[in-house]
Amino acid sequence: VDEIEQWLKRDYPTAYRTACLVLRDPIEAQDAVQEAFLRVWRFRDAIPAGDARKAWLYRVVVNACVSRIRSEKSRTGKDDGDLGLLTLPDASPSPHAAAEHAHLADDVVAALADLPESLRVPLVLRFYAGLSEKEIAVAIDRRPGTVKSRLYDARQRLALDPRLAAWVTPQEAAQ
Amino acid sequence: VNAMLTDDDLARLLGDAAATFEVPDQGPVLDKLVVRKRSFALPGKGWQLTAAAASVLVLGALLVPSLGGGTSSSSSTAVKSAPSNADNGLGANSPQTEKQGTFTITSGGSAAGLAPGSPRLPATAPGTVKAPAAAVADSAKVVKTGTITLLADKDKVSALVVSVRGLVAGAGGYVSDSTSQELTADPSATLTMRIPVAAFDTVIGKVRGLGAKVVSVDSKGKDVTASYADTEAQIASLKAARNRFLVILSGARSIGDTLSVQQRVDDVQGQIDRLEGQRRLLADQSSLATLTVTVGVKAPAAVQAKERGGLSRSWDRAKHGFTSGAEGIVARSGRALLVLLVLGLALVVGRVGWRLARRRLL
Repeated sequence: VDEIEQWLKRDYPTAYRTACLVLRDPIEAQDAVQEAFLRVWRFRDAIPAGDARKAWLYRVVVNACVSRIRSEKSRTGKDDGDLGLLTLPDASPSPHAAAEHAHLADDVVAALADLPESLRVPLVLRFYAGLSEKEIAVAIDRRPGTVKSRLYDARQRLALDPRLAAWVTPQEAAQ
Repeated sequence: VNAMLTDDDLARLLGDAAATFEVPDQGPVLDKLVVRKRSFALPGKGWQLTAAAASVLVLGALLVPSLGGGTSSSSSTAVKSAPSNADNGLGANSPQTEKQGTFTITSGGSAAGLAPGSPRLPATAPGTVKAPAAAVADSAKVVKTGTITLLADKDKVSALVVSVRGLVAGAGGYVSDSTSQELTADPSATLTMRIPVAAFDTVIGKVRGLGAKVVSVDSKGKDVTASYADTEAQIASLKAARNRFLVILSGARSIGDTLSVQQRVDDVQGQIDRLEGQRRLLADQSSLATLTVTVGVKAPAAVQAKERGGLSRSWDRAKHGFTSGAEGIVARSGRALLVLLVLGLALVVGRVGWRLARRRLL
């Protein structure tokens, strides 16, 4: 029990921020992660051992997030792409020293908001939560090939986003 | 497409974006539940032993009353010995002494806790709550009731009533209700008394030994252990749900959420209050037996009817039917007499008036 408790505590910040990037609403994210963690705790006997449990945890977190997205979609009738735009955290200017940084972060969040959920989730899991493609496949219940394809699509879309143009490297150089 | 974001850039961009979301200090609410669970959980397989012990006690509690309970009347063995549960009286094991609000469980029904010092139960399957071991480990809950009908000489009825009252007071009980008619031709009295369960059989024996004629003795025992344990389990489950809602309430950010969760808290609290009332009632009924003693100078009508044969009873019914019919006719005749009287009066008035009018015309 202690070990599970420590594990959940340790992964909470990452899981919470993952949910923030997926949902783009800190309050919704907090509720989703809370719900997911309680679910994990409730079924702690079913937690797989070893490395698989990270994927298992994020599968529960992603399910909670997706469930909220769909619930919000059915409630408001708004498309997934619009959801985050209305629920973006307050983009008020940060202190001057961090202004540029904050601006970039806002751009990233906005760019993520333009991605459909099916691309946003694997992208966040891969490049923020640090899951492998195999673990993402478990988390979103898709084949690894599908994950790879979605990651590629997501990456391409972000590269085309003008807000992130400064970060884009010519493909030849990147290779 | 001839441009791409590298893995490192993506990781950095997403990391920076994620860092703008401040992680709540509160962290997962699971923390609180885990702490609770950890402090209450039995180490190792201790819970299995506790569950086994609780099962044995429940079985014992269910079997004993079925062997010793029952009803009997008017014989030297009229009162069978009921299951002995000395701890069920007003002693320290009385349910009223149980600590409240200490049995907790997660919203999924998995982390269970009990009052400090009580036996612990393991985590259960989601959505289920086991009865607290403390409730099961307490003695069996048996609601005992009894009635005794006594006959005494006319001039000894009052003294007999006083003796019965004295016996009950001596046993630690009290008279909850009494009716007496001492100055009539057939004095009688009925006493309803609450007696500690442990002293129930003793009091019945002493009442039988007061010297009056014992017409009937009726003693019953109803095992409510299962109901009691079930009620306690429901209370524990609801309290856990209430605690969970309270945690959610503390984190509610909007007025709508607050009102919604508060409504749930109120609903659950209402259910808890109602079940607490049921539990207290069961506890009271199982700790204090109810004994009704009827004293008279002749056997109650019900006893007389029992002793008579079929022909005698038929004659009584016929007699009663005739009397009832005659009474009915007399009772209804009052209205008819009034109608006749009014009609007669009208006839007389009409006749006199007719005569006067006729004289004037002539």
